Parts: sequence; C-alpha cells; structure tokens
Amino acid sequence: MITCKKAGPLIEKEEFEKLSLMKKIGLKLHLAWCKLCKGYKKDSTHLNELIKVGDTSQSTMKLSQAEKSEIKEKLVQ
Amino acid sequence: MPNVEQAIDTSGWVDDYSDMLYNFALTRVNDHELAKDLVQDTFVSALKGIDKFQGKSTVKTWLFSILKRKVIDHWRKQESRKTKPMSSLGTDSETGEQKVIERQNKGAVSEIEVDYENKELRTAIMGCIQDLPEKWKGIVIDKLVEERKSEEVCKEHDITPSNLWVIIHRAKIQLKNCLQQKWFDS
Repeated sequence: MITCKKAGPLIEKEEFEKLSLMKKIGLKLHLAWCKLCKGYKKDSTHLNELIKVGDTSQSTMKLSQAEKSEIKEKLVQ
Repeated sequence: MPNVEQAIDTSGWVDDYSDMLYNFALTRVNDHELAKDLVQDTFVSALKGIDKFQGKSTVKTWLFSILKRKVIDHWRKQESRKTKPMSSLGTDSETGEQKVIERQNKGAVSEIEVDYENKELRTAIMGCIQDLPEKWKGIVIDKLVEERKSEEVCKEHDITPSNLWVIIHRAKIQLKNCLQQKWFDS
C-alpha cells in the first residue's frame, strides 16, 4: 500500500504521463480510501488548468517599436 | 591576418529576437519593465561576449541561454530579499496554525473559473508563482505553464524524474493555498 507522501507525486505524474501498472494500482487503491488525496486529485487537475492561464505566450505580448529602438540605442553605446 | 572567426551580423538581433526573449522573461518575472531590462541586458552581454559565441549553437539558443542565467540571477536576488517565511504555506510563526483553519473556509480552488481573458486571475497566478522558492520556479513554469516535456525539464534543471514530480507536487500545494488566499481574500 502506498502512502500519501508517495501518492501526491504520482497524482502529478499521472496528469502528464502513463504510470506503470503497479503504481497505477497502488494509486487507485490509495485513492479509494484516502479522502484527502482523492480531494487533492480533483483540485490538482483544475489547478493545472489555472496555472496555464499564466502563460504570456498565449497572448504574445510584444515590446513596442519605441522600446526596441531604445534597446538598439543602448547597444550602440 | 584575416580573423578566423566569421564576423557575425548583429544588426537585426533586436528585431528578430527581442519579442520572444521578452515573452520568455515576462512569464518568469511578471513585470514589464523588468522583463524589458533583462532582454536589454541579454543583448549587452551577448555583444560583449560575442567572441565566445563560436556558432556551436544557433544565435537564438545562445541568447536564450544568456537570458535564462539572468532570470535565475534575478530570482536569487529576489529570494535573498525575502524576509518572511513562505506565508502562503500558512506556516507563518506569528499567526500560527489558526490562520490555516481560517483560510480553509474562504473558498476552494475548484471554485475559480479558468478564464484566459481574466487579467486579475493571470496576475494572481503569476504572483503566486513568483512567491515560490527560487529552485522551484523555473521547473513549475517550464512544466506547468509552458508544458514542456518532462525529460527536457529534468535535463535543464538537473533533477531526476521522481524528483520532478515531488517538486511539482509541493509547489502546487503552495500555489493552491496562495491562490485561494489571493482570490478569496480580495
């Protein structure tokens, strides 16, 4: 039986990668009786979605032409 | 004697690379002026050390490697300025455990709607990421924000795969608490 300490990182890994069969079963069993980890698993998926909102490349922010010229000027000095 | 090294044309660098460098920096420092300064410093360092660039990698890779170091330097400075222990973890010694309990009643992270247009949400999330320990920040941004491959992230940060998920897990618990506090307290 795996502990909460082991289950936490496995919950994270499972969001991105396949777990080995043993780990998959171990985690499933753990989640079946541990309410805390089961609750975290729900939050965890949502949290990953929320964190992606922080990606600025989604909105491709740019430097203004004036700011670019300013950098160019500094480089000439 | 002609120079063995090929002269590199640097005149188009700012036009070609500044936006991508700026985006990279902005995601990591969450401050326009600071991100702009880091990009500028990157170009300055690059031109100063141009003789060290031997064309082993592309100009883009090389510029990014300089910028990454500058971002980490900034995080280290930021970390050394931190006086409080990580308050978002609720381990604040002055207020004690009570704060943790109090916080739990305010609202759950699952109630926060995922909305890419919501600037306040972006600010809150980026703020919470900035509060993470310096060593975790880059890992969290690379893996969770930019969703890069795990092998790549491990290699870049010199950690083992199992270490990666332990760090991600601890960081996410801190982010969860921080977000709940930032979102529901204001």
